[in-house]
Amino acid sequence: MYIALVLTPWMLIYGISTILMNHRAFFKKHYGGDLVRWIKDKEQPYGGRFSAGAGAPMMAEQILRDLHLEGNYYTNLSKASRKLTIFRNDLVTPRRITYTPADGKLLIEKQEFRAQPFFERLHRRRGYENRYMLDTAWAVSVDLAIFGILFWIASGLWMWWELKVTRRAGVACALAGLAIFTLFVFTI
Amino acid sequence: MTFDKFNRRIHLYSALVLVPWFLIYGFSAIYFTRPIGHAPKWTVRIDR
Repeated sequence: MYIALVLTPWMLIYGISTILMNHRAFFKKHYGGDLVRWIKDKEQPYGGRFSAGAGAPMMAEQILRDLHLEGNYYTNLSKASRKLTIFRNDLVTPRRITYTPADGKLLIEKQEFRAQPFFERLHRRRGYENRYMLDTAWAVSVDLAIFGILFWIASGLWMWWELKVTRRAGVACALAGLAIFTLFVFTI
Repeated sequence: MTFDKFNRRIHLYSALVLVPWFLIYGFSAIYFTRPIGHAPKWTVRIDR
């Protein structure tokens, strides 16, 4: 019970986001085409110099540092190094920064806040493959949520078995669930 | 049957039906959060 109370926000997030992800087509229609919409935040010249042989991640980190937008990101350098695109993974306001070396300009766009992409971002944010402490702390909390789910399965089964009056109907329900699940696994 | 008892029974039986789903989502999440193992290899079945 206490684990459940601690993990209520995580369970709500994963529950709500899964519904929204399962009904993406509806939300695309609702938003008029694309789920996300980028809005121009600002455009500015960039005079930063990159060290020789600097790869896309190094360039991206320097730009993010100069813009005071450090944090989790992924980047993409187009063919012939014509354009560097940085996606700053902010949960509430993700930003897309496009650097064009030819004219030395930075285009900074932010994502319009919409419920579906927001919940989907929360759902997908995970993993330890980053070097940001807050992201790692989130990954630990996700592990705790996973532990909670697995623990509830075990403790729930135990509590059910202790209730003799519900054993028979419970077995029927468990077998029905298993049968439906197995059917899906081998047919879809 | 009181609401409390009805609620408990629905909670219990729906959980028992959904056990396989909870197990799958619980275990699969472990694999999502950390890079365990390797991507599955493809075996050539037909090449023509």
